[in-house]
Amino acid sequence: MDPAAAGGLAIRVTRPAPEVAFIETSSSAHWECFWVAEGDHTLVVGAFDRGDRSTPEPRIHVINKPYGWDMRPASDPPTAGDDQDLLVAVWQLLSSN
Amino acid sequence: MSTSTLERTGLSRDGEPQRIWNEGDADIPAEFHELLVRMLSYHVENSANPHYTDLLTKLWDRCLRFAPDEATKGLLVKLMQQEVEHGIINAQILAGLGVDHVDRPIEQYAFRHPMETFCDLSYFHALIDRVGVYIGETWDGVPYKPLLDIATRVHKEELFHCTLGLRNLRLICKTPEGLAEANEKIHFWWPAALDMFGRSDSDFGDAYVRWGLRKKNNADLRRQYIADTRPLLVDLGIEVPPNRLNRRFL
Repeated sequence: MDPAAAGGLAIRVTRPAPEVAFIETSSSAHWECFWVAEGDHTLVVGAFDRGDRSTPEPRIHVINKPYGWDMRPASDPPTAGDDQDLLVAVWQLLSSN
Repeated sequence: MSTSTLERTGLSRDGEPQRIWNEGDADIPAEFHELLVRMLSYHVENSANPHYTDLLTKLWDRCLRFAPDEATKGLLVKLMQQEVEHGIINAQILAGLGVDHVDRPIEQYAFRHPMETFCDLSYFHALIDRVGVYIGETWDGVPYKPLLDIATRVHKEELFHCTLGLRNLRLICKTPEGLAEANEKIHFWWPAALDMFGRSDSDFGDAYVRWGLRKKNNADLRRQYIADTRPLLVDLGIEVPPNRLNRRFL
């Protein structure tokens, strides 16, 4: 089993730099990707879901960085749990924007 | 006939273009209308049903009181906001089908179980909300435009809810005491989740599939849920009971 799969949902995260992450999620019914870049005061989050009829276009969100935001993984190397933590944090961010 | 009623996407089983009906279309087939109303009236998330308001009140209380840290509380609050919105959306779609009020006690016993700890709450999100990903909110193939319009958003939000539940279970299972509690409570939550799929021989399950309201029947969906979910719990160290143990519906 894909160790990052969550109930049919696979999560893959790459972190090219401490302040940058690329997240890909997929299931049998869904595929979506996000990228996150963290500045001193701002987050930029890109999102694209090619199967979403209601929002078929790629989106860019520029967001005031939430107080206490920390996207660095707790483990080195990052675990599936670290990836899961980052995905739910991004979902939380985007549902407000 | 409006433009929207002529909208067609995909193919039906007999190879004809799939008709997509819109709110207010006069020629919605009676059986399809009846099944739509039945499905949405039985759907738990419905702010036109006062019993759902009672459930939300209980869940808000547990989310605010049981969250072990402020970050988790923030995530749970977001989840709850979405649950309220899902109820409003369902009520609005039902109103478009001519149903303004539903007074239906929530039948699934998982919703009536006392949630006494963060472990109960996390199981509720990880396992019971996850059922919605399979059976309650898989509307991307339903030939009714109001449901198609919200299908992807609602489905993704349910993915957020069950992924958050799993993340919270992971926090719990990090300690020996937490894992012990999880191993005790799985004996209620696992069969309760499997029972959410209803009886394998339900006639309505097949009718839902025939009209595109679901892609698989109850038994097939339950099998898929088990195959996807059991390994996730085992991975956390949880000893999942046999699938037929303590079940009320088979």
